Amino acid sequence: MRRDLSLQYDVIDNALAETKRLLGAGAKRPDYTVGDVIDKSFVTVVR
Amino acid sequence: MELPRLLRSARLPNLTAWLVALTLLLMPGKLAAADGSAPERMRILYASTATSFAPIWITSDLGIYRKHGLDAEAVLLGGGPLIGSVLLSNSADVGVGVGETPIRVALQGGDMKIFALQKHARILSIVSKASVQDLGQIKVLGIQSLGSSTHNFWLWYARQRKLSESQVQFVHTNSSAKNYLALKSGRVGAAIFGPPFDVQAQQEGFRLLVEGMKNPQPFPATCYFATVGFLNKRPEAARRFVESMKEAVQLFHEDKTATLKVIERRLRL
Repeated sequence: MRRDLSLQYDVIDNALAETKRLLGAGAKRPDYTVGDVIDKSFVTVVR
Repeated sequence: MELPRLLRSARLPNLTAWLVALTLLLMPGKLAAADGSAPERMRILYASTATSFAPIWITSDLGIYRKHGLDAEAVLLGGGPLIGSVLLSNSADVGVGVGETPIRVALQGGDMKIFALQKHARILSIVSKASVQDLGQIKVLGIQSLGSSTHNFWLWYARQRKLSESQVQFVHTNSSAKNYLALKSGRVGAAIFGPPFDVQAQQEGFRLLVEGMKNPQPFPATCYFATVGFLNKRPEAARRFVESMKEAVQLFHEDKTATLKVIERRLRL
């Protein structure tokens, strides 16, 4: 477990790619990127 | 309907989500803080019983939420899909679990985002009874629920090993602890769970077909997420939640005695 709670884009991107693969053509927003699934407002708080 | 077919039914998670949502709405709130101030009410949902969730228990048991101005209630739900459904019903505020949950909701058109990441590696083991020697021999597999982290982990492994997805019959257990108990009781031939149950199972003679600690995958295994509506309307509550969890994570690393006491109490070890 990490000591800070900061968002790691590459790690989250792994889940995004995996979930897109599982949903396949059923995804309503197949073009979503990491920036669309995270909230950057808390960047200074999570560190 | 026979149980395995019922468990595979797509309607069950939705019905369960509504029942949980109704129950949560009817639960009474807690009293105000002892110092007279009015702490902000927050309902947190977490996905399973495992060491990863120890910081939630630490914050609850050691009064850390209250210290940061929150009147927080942490509720255990069985798996990420259920958490996603209950958050969308506005019956709770924050979810703690695997990143696939908010990502799936977002990809399907829902308004949900990740705002902090606590654990960046998926550490899950596939554990079987001793007579099962290979993943290809698994017939009945214990998972939390369809769409959960444990289910997706199996799908990922099955794809890597070119196994048929229909090879196994899934049994829902709702948590890592119950997965472990299902294996011990013989209800399933194999099950997926993480620490500390995988270590314990191995000591008891079960076989680790995939050992999580030796195969950590970069993955948002434990993250904090909420609807966009909540994050926009109550950013201060979300900030207090993050501050509380940061303190708990720090304590998790630095005070082993207190942490172990909390884990032992929560997991009944």
